[in-house]
Amino acid sequence: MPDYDHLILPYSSGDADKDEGLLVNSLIARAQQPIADPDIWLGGVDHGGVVLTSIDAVFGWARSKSLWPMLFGLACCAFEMMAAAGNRWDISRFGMEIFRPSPRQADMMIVAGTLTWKMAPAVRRLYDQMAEPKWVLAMGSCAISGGTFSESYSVVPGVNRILPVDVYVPGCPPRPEGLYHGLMELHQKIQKAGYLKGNVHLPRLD
Amino acid sequence: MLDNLGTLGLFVALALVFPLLLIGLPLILRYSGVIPQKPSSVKQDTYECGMKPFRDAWTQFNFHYYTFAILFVVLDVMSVFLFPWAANFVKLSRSDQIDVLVEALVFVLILLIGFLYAWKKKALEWR
Repeated sequence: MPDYDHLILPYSSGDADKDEGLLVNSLIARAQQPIADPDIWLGGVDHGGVVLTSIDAVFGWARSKSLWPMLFGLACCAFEMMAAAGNRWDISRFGMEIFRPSPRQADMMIVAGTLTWKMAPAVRRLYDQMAEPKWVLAMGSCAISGGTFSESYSVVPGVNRILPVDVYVPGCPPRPEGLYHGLMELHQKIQKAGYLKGNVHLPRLD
Repeated sequence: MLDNLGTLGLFVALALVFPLLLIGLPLILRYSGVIPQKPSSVKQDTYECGMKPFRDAWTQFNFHYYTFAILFVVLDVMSVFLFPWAANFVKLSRSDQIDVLVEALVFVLILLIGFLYAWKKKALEWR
């Protein structure tokens, strides 16, 4: 019988659980205040010259019409997101039919559902691994503020504690039409943002 | 004749320009700052569905998977070839009634000999 000891995962040991608990606790300690929303908002920012403005318009148009969302869902809002991606509401009308299963190819993160503190490091890591420029859409009451569970010890009271959120879509869960309204707001925001849009600098997780 | 050569020249020019454009455009966008480049240790780390990667990815697999996979592919392709044969058997056998059957049998026999050889060499036993 071959020796399979080297294949045993560290998650089967108590040490790994302890490490994860320390990571989560340090994240909770550092995420007591919400991260400020990215300041470029729909009010419109003037970028100066004629040339830059037209380049901004071209790249803003290209970026906003080819958003690729990250493929992941946390809770029940994810089902409305799937419905939005399905054939009845058909997300491909907005140039975003491809939900990418890898953060390397995704522009946009739809945080659909309740985010627990245990899941928070993973979501934050996914956001960190996405390529710039990137946008975050918080979908549903739980993602916005913790919703029903905002008093809970285990639920992140709003994903803006760990991510800079661009668009908030309220609802419990929001219907696909609501999600689309948020997406179209995000499109307008991207078009206003300009091609040199920088992302919010976040402190390191670990 | 000359018209055709002109078209050919245009085609060659297009075939040269288009790949150069496709290669050059990302470089222009990169160095003009349109494509931001902000590498970090987390971003360049292995993607493991948001988990922190640990240990080495080069784990060893039993080599016997290979022979199983090869045998599976052989029998798989055999069934792929036999399906259209079986579906059109009636139509084919109208002209030559025995030939169609014999041809398929020879095909299966060749693969069967290989399969028996693999069986005899104990390729089907898990060690």
